[in-house]
Amino acid sequence: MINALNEADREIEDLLPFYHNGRISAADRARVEIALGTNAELRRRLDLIAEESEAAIVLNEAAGAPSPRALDALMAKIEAEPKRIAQQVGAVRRGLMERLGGLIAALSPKTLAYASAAAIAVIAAQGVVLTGVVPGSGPGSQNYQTASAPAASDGTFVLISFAPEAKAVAIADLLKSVGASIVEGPRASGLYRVRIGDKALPRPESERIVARLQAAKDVVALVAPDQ
Amino acid sequence: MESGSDEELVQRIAKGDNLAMRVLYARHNLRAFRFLQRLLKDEALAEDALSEVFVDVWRQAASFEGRSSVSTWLLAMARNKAWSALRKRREAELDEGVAEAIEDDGDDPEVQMQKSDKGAAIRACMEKLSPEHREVLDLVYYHETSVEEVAMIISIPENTVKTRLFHARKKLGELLKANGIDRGWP
Repeated sequence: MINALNEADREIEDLLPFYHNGRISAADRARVEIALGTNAELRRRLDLIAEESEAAIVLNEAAGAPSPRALDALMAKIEAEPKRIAQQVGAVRRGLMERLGGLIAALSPKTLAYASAAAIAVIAAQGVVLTGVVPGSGPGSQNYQTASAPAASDGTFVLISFAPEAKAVAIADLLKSVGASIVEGPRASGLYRVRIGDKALPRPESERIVARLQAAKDVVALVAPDQ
Repeated sequence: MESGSDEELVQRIAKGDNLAMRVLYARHNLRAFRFLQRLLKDEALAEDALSEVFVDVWRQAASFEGRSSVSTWLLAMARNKAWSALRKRREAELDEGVAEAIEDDGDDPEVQMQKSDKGAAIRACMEKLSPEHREVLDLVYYHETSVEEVAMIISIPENTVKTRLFHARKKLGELLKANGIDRGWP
């Protein structure tokens, strides 16, 4: 004989599986126990749930276990993980460098010159903060000068970072082609100070030389004016 | 055996601790495997999926926020792996022109033979339920999960958990009835 449940008892019926497995709140447990105390049909349905639960447990226990080699295979995969992550980091780093290179290449010489000057100013400011030394100030500011070379402050200068794969011969040829010479470097940042003129060149002239240097992408990674 | 809660183990795994990984695996591999095996009905597939679950634990340990228990987290990942494999298998079967098994509610010889053993008959009918219904019954009856945990694992609202469980049990009762075992419900 099937006994229908009213709406309130239907709600209780939905809680019975969780009452049976013990994963129910104290408040719901109390509600269920009150209802079970007065409703025989609910008690009968709880018995059905107990049957079903027992069947599910038997079925799950019969589902076996992973083979002992599963753990070894898993640990082997995990051992390989750091390499994979390192490769991903390397790929990301390479991608960033490529994008940075593309970005620099896309800039006009003028824009690049301003951007580089700003970057160098930041580096210089960091240097001041770190060392507390302002170039050209303090008791040791009398710089060494050779008698044969023009004074380091004479002329027009640029800062150059050469491409890592650039050959010395190619660097020399490029500098010779624009009448430039290295006067200092490499600095800690990898930059060389290069004189491109013995006197202060007009701005269009210095920009032309900067553009020529920048165009030699296989030799020069970065070029910026140095005041 | 290493001590420490599951959450502590996951924190250690996030720092690359292999031993913590082994301990967590030892604690949870059996239940996770059984959950997978019950859904996939294929030991090799279940073992592959189990391995994927724990590799994901290794990769995602740092992002585990503890909003659920570790066992709930594991079962949720296992479920995703199992359903992904089931979908692939169904697509492959459709590609091969194999019709999906049509449920036959009546006179299953296996159930008929087991009428004398009510437990065996219930088990035989449970095996005939859809994966969706088997899943919710296994989670509640074997894995002893709460409504909230089932909702997290299956990614459905809590009320839907109760509804789905009700329909799974109703279907089971109907299967039993069709095979001559009337439990008086539904």
